[in-house]
Amino acid sequence: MKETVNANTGAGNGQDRSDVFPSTHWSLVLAAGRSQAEPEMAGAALAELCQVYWAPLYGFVRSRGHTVHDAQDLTQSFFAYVLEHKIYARADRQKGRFRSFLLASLKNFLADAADRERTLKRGGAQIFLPLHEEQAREAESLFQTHSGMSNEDRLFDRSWAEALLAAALERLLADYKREGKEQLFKELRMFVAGGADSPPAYAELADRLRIAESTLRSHVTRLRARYREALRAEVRRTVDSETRVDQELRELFHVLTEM
Amino acid sequence: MGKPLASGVGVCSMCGKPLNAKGDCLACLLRTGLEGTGIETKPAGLAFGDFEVEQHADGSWWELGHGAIGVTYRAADKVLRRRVALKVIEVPPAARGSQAVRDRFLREARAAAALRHPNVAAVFQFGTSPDATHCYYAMELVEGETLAARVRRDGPLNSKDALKIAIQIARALMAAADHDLIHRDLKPSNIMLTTESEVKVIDFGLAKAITDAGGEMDLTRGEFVGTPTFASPEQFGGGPVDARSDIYALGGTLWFALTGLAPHPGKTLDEIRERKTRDGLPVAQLIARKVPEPLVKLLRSTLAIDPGKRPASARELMEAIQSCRRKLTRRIGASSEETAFRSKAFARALTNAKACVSDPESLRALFDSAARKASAISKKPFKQNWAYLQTMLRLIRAYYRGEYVQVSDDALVWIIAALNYLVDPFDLIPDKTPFLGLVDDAHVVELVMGKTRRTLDAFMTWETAVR
Repeated sequence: MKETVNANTGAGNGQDRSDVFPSTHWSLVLAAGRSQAEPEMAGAALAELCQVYWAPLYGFVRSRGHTVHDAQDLTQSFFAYVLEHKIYARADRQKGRFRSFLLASLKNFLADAADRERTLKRGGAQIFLPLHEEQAREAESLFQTHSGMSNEDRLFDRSWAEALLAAALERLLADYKREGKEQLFKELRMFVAGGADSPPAYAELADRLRIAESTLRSHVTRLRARYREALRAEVRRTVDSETRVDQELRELFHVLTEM
Repeated sequence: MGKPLASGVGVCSMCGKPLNAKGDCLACLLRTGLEGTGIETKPAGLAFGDFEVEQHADGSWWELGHGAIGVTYRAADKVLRRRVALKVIEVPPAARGSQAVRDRFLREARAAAALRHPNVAAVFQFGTSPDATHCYYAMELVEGETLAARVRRDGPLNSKDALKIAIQIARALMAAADHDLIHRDLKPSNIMLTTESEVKVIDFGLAKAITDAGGEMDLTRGEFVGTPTFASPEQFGGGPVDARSDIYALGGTLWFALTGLAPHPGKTLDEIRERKTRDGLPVAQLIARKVPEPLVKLLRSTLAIDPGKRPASARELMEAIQSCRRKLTRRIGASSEETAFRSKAFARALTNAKACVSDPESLRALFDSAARKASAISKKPFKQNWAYLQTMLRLIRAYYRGEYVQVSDDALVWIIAALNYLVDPFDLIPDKTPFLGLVDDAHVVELVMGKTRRTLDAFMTWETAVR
């Protein structure tokens, strides 16, 4: 079981960085912040986390009334600001969560947005995270889905939870791809992620995949177990200790179900 | 990707929750992700008035169906302590404050509740949520499947079976006419086929009463609510809609039953409207399925573009259908006798099964005996059914241990009857006819296979989740 956990943890959202950041990304960032050691690793770890959770931050900025383009610019500027000024070095160890840290930092950043804008115009920010068109489109779609929420913090938490679940699924897909089982993943995805179409009967699907029904059941059971591990691994990347994983999962569950 | 709701959001076929932009269900992802963590994932109760939506063992809502305008759940009537089918419809935001819409819904709901007929799923109660965002009504819970699901699973029906269904729908329309009620959204997914092959029409009038939001504005806005495929041409034009629209929809439904296709399919509202009003009927589909001429003639008349050329009333429609049936009966010399239960051996197995369900000792004896016999008999004659047999045994074991109770008594009877028939543990079946695929009675095979397969599938899903 432990091997499975490590393998999943290493998938890194489809990017092969597992050898560099084998365990908790956020704890690595925190440690680097405290000791000033290995700043490149910390910065890279933070940059990767920021990519995954770009959408919730963008949604929060949008909820403050900024236009699409302004929100994109501000979100990018925020990440650049965090990385350039090593804001993570000031993270409160007691809070222990990347989510809390980012939201608090973003609020501070936005409160000073006008000054920040002037700084940017003077060429102050040199570090940029790549922003892909699809990423921006999905983030806007996520924001539109929740734009009716009146509480901006809840909007952020909910978007974060959604990004987390999606990232875990992407992580699992990357694992299956690496193992040459992408097609199997696609066929069984609905047993983990639901979907619009009703799932076929096991016998029917087994027949289509030309495998025994019992084998199919094993595949489904294994897929579900691996998703559970992928989700835990994803949460693990954003908290500073193993004990916080369940706590974070519990909180995110409440965020997603209290709607 | 997802089936659109009125708001344009897709819903999950497993739990009815909205899908995200990638077509994934966050609720399902979350539930899967938290399995075995000890975190309580069972959501708080979902209730509308006196009705509480039931949940599966994994905490998901017990959804019976979902469409463009709402979700139907299996629910418990807390007052009368009975199970119902609860349809919950989101009221369009523009209609929430409208007294006209509320009055119209109440008027239709009262008329639907007054309609009592064996071929209509009775409406027990209706209401709106306190914040006026949802309307709901509780209907008789019908055990079975929709005509759409039946055709999707087993393919098109033969003329005789399709006509039997059409006659029962026409009876429902006649009863509705007595209450000045029209359905307005008749389609294969609104036709329930019970386990006893009876027809029950669901959703009379109500759904459209809410979603039409007080007029034909849906059409003028280009947002036809519901399924336009089976709607009459006049429903697209905003003209007066009367019983002849339901007759047209019945024609389309009958066409679908016979061919597995809609007469005028299309991807967009405009495309469907164009085809309905411009194109002739694709009669080649009927010819390909060898649909007899009298039935083709009946379909031509019910699907006429001009309402004046259709049967003028449900009663006239019934006469046309009966006339068609008489012609077919003469032509093929078919008997209209019910043949589903002509196998005496299976009837006996069914009787035994009924006795077993209500008596734990008999059930235990049946199980022990069947398990012994199953392990002793050669697998060869049962090659095709071996997996079914093993699953039946596992289901019954789980049932009488109290681990698996999500099976209705009715479904359990069929499972036990099938098991009984398969291994005949008490040596009660004299002819020892083997089971599925080998028994010389297509009706019995169809009934048993359909019911047992669905029940066993549900059980296997539960097994997988538990494991």
